[in-house]
Amino acid sequence: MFEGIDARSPVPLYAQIAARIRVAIAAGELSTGEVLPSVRNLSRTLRVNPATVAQAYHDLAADGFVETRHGQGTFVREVEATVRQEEKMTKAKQLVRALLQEAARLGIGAEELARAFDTEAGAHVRE
Amino acid sequence: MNNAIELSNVRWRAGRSFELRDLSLHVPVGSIYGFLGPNGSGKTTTIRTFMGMLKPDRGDIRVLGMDVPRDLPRILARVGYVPERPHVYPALRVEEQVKYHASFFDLWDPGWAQELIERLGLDPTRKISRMSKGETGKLLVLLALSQRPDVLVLDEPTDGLDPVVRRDVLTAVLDYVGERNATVFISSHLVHELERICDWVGVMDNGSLVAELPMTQFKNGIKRIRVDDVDEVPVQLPFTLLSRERTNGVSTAETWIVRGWQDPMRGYFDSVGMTLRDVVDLDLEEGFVELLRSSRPQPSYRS
Amino acid sequence: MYRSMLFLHWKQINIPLIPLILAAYALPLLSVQGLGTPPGMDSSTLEAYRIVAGAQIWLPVFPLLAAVIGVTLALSAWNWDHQLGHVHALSLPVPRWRYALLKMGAGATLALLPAAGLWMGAHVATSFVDLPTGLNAYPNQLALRFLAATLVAYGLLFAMAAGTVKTTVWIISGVIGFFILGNVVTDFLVGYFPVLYRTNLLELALEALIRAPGPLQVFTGNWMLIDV
Repeated sequence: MFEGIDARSPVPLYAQIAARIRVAIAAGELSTGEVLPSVRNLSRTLRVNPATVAQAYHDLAADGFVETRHGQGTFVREVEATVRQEEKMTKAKQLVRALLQEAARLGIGAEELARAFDTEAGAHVRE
Repeated sequence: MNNAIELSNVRWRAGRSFELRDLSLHVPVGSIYGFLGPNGSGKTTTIRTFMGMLKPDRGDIRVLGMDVPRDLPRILARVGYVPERPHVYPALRVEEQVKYHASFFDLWDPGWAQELIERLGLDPTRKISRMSKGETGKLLVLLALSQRPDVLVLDEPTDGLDPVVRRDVLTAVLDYVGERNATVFISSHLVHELERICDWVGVMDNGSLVAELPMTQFKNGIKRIRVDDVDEVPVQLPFTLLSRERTNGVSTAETWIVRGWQDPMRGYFDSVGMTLRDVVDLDLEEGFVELLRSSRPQPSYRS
Repeated sequence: MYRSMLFLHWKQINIPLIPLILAAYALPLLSVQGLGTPPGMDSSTLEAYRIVAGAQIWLPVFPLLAAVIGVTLALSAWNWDHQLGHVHALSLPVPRWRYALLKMGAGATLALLPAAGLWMGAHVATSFVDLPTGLNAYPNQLALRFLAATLVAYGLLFAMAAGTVKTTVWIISGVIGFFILGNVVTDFLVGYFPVLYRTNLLELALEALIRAPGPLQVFTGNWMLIDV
């Protein structure tokens, strides 16, 4: 689930971890009531500072995506459909922005991108 | 006590060849502090001064709020140390070395030492002189961790180890930090290794600390930007210009490395008649290299 | 701490120490080889003289062995620490003086082993010899003297071995300097006071050092296992 976490990115690791979990909750990859890995375990698997994971969980709790029950762990909370939709939209915008930036660097315009998007998405749907 | 390790204006010199000049360094309690610098920049010397092994000519050193060298035995009881070169007796077996080391530490945790032996895959009956570099490295980390220290000082702990061992060693360290809110001071010239785990960075070069800041600031603040229509660079810039280089072929376009960058500064370029083409993020290693380049005396303009 | 220090020192020295312990055990036995009267025979004054004279041959070997053991213990005490640049020792939460004291104590404890070997050997040896009247065996005294001599040699060398190569060189050059200076001073004095001709001040000084009541005296005292 955390394959995309990139230490070399300027986005702080805790923000990357929190964002990844938010999207997972929004997209239903993590369902309500599900328990997240412990801070220690996740820091081990990702080989990051435990404080980084703790910060990510803390931010998620503040946003209402998870709750930490003392002594039991961190659990996914019920998240409203509108919030989930919003979260997915945020992520989608981010992806597009990155794509546009990369394309601009390579001299590819928005028009070509839009056409490519139609054919690729169409091909994807037909599969 | 906010800092686990604190050096103020420490000076130390060995002959005429090398010195630490007015070194001030702060390692916040609970942080994982990455101590970066090229080989020979004074990382090990710095560590030896606050471990009480070298006596500085002047300056104050405090570890865990206590004075070095006055309170040294009390400090060392709470500091786990993995030196640059192995400090274990080659003629001993693993279990003998562990027992010997343990007898000096009141907080020693035999259960955890045993668990680490198993988890790191060490053979307790193996003679240290017959062990590979990787096995010795694991043993050193095991000794330091089983002391249950409040501060862990690692001097190039993974230098020369293969990736598997390196991962094992770092995992063991992170595990300990997660369980107990210890402070970790880790020196390395392998920048990528520190990128994931550190929340503070100190950069040494030529006996001086050229930067000390939280990792997020370090990574966010240093950018490579491409600007066009550069006529003359204003004296007053909202950020620090570390270096500038003319872009190939285009006379007015330049690539700058800047420090202290914030996104709202994009608007600044229009106000001085320049065009901002691109802002590229630098990872820790690139940032580190640029920082060193700018801290060394040389003309800042290269073409 | 003390026990692990003892263990560490034992690990460092067991290979050379075991033959030295055996030598200490064997030495009293060798010294009574072929001595004494076979049981049942009359002992005479002549016999007693022969025994004392025979034992005298071995006299210098005892202090020499003690010195060798003392020096071996002292040099080995710091050997491994020197090899590691003292990094492990300095990272331990023990004041330096205490670390040195622990080390010194461990070495002194190990000095008991050859002394005990000699003590046993001396007892066994005396049981083989049927002593004529007027002669007595002193196995306990000899063993104690041996232990004392070992400890003196160990103590003197321990401090020197603790230092760096630089300090050792300083001490040794100091001793050499003392000898050269001693000779120069002697020549000078002889020039002015012809009475002193053929007296070597240096020899006098050394003589005084060893004979005078002091730690080194232990090397020159009575090393006889069997004596009047």
